[in-house]
Amino acid sequence: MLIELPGYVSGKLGAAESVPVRAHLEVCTGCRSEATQLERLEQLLRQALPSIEPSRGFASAFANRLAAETAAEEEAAGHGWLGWLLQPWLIPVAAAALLAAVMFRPFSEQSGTAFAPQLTSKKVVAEHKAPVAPANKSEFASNPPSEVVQRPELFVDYSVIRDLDILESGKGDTESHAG
Amino acid sequence: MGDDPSPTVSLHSKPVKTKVQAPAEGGWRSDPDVALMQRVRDANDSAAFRELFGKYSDAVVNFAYRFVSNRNRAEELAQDAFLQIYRARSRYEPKARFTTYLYRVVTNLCLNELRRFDYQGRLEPLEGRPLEDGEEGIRELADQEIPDAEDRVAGVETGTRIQKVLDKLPMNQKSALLLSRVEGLSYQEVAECLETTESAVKSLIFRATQTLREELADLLS
Repeated sequence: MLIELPGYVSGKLGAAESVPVRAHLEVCTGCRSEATQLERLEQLLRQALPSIEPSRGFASAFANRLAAETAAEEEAAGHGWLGWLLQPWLIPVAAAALLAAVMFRPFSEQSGTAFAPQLTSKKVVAEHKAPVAPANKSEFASNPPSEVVQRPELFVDYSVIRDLDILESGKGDTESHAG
Repeated sequence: MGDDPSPTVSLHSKPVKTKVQAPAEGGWRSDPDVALMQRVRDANDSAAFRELFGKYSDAVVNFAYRFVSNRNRAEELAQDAFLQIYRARSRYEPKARFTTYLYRVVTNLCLNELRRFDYQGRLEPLEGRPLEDGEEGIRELADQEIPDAEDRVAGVETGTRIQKVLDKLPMNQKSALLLSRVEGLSYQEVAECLETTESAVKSLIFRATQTLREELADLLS
C-alpha cells in the first residue's frame, strides 16, 4: 500500500487503483501522516526547484546548427550521380579492390610476353634486383616483401626478378645434367 | 549576475512553467505535436520543427539543467536532443505522444552525460556565476529592491537544497521522479521513456520520495 501513496497523492493513479488507497487512509493514521508529508513534498518539487531561462543566444545557436545540418544534407543530396562516390562504405571496398588489383597483376603478366625483352639484358635486371632481392630467392618469389605490396610500382621489378629466378633455376638444372 | 544578463532564475513564488500538458483525450493519435512531427518527416517541414522547438525547448533545457546543474551544458544537451530528432525524422514512427519521444531522447542524452562525467560537486550556483559561499549570493539578492526579497532568498535556498538531494539520488530514481513530478508525464509515459515497466516506475519513485522525505524532513513538518 505504501508504494502507491506517492502516486495517489500526486494524482497519478487511476480511479481503480485509488479506491483501496483511499480506503486504507481512512483507517491508518501512520499512512495519513505520511500522505500529508508527501503532499508537501509534491508542492516543493513543483514550486521550489530552480527554473532557468535559456540564454538569449540559445535559439539562434540552435537555428545555426539546424541550418548547418540542413545544408550538409542538401550538399550530400546535390552530388547527383557522383554522390555515391562519397559514401563512407565505399572506402574499404575501394581499398580492397586496389589491393586485389595489385596482388593479381604479377600473375596475369606472368603468362604474357610484355616483359620478355627486358630479360635479355642481365645487367639491367641486376640493377633492378639489387635493392629489393632478399637472400632466399624462391621465398621472395612466393612471398612478396611488404614494401613491394605497399608500393605497386615495384611490381615491375618484382616480376622481372621472379622471372630471372625461374631462368636461373632452369640453368642450374642444365649445368647439373651436363656435369 | 555579472555580464551575462540573459540567464534568469525563477524562484519559488513563480510556478514552474515548463511542465508539459496532461495527456490529451484520445492519446497520442490526437496529439497535435505528433501531427507536426509527421509533417517534418513527410514534407521536411522546417516550420513545423521550429514550432516544436519553440514549444518545448525551455522545458527541455530545464529538464537537462536539473540533471547536469550547468546552464551551458544543459543548453547544449537540449540542442543535441532536437538535432537528434531532426536527423532521425525519416524514421519517426509515432507510438506515443511527441513529448514522450522527446523526453526519452533527452533522458538518454542526460544519462549518458552523467555516465561520462562526474557531476558530483559541480552544482552551479543558481545565479549563474561561482560564489565563494552561499551567504554572498544571498546578500546580493537581498540588496535588490524586490518586494518579496526575503521570500525569494528562502526560495532559492530551498530550491538549491532540493536540487542537491536530487543530485544524490541514483540516476534512474532521479529520472523517474523528474519526469513524473516535474515534467508531468504519466507513469506509463515515464516507463516508456526509461524503457521499463509501470510497476518499476512506481518503485523508483517510492524510493526517491523516501529519500527526499528523510533529507528534507524539516521542510515537510
